Amino acid sequence: MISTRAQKNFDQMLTLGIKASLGGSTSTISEVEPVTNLKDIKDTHAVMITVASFLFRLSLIIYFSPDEETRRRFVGVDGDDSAVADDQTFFDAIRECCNVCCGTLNRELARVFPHVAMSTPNIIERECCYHLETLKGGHLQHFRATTDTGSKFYVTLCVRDYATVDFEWTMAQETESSGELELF
Amino acid sequence: MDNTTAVLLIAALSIAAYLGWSVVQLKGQLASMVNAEEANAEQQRLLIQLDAQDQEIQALRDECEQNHSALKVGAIDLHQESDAGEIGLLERSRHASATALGDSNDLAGEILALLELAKTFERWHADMNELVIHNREMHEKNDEFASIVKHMIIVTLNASIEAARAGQSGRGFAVVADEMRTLASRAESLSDGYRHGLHQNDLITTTTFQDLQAGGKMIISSLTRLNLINNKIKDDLTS
Repeated sequence: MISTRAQKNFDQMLTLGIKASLGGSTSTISEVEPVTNLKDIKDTHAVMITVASFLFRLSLIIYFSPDEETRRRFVGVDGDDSAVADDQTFFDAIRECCNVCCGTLNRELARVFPHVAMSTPNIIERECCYHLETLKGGHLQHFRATTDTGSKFYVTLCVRDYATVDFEWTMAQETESSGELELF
Repeated sequence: MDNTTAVLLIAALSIAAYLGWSVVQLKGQLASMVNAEEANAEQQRLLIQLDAQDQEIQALRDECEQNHSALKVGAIDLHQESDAGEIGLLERSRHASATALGDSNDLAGEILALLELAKTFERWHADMNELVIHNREMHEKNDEFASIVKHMIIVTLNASIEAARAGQSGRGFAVVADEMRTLASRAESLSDGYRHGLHQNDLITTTTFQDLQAGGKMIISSLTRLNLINNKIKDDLTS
């Protein structure tokens, strides 16, 4: 069982991760809000990563489409069309973004749980996420992140518990400070 | 009165005065002689008391010497016992340290062997990549199968139309075309189900292997920390 407080903490940690990673080099995340319907998500692919602990397994999924705008946002190479068009470069950039997002979350979890570790990310097709119930998550939540330029990204958090999960967590001062710095 | 008489008178007076002074002196000495007797008596009493105290002191001294000798013997025995105890304790401590050091070395060996688990986790990760590639090939085959089934449905539809055009003579053919269309529809629905199954399989495979990979990292990290602690214990034992 995952307590309401733990679910809220997981969500807030993920929000930190989203703000630290999905803005890209040209924008910042202005809003992160929960989404109830997975059907709202129209992207074709997703990148998935896992944080393992003795008590739970946390899966993080960031949805994306390999379109021109997304490629430019994540590859971040202005004018270099070949790099933007290259699938390997783009997927590597997406994986790196996922790593940063999950790394932020993992760092916060490590302040509470002494033994946590994260996997490397993998690209999956979006249709795979229709079967998220298969993972038997005690906490399944989708989010929509909106940038200040209007771009939208969808993220799913799925936590499967193997024992009672309840913990106290407060946002670290340095985390808040680094979040503020990112706004500049 | 002539001079001689005066001198004699003065001499006689002087002699008388001297005799008076001598009498007073003799009286004083006589009184002193009485105090000296008392003092002698007191001295005798004190001497006797002193002798008694001397004897008492001698007795105490003798007793002290006896006690001292006894204590000396006791101290020697105690020292010998203490030395033996300390040596025994030191020996046991040395033995325990040697055993602990040996155990610590054994533990270090086990930890290093367990750290080789990282290779197993890498192997699992490689296996996962193979599984993902295999799943992708199955997706491609299923997509091709779905494409064939769609084509079959169109063909069976065309066959039904042609059979209808043929009229009475095409009736038998229409039955076959309908049956073929039914089979194609069933194949299409099977293909869709298979596609969903493959996606579900992708999700389960990815989640499971990511869990294995992250769990592996968690174990390796714990073992590394354990190794550091064990090295510190070894340092403490050898220093």
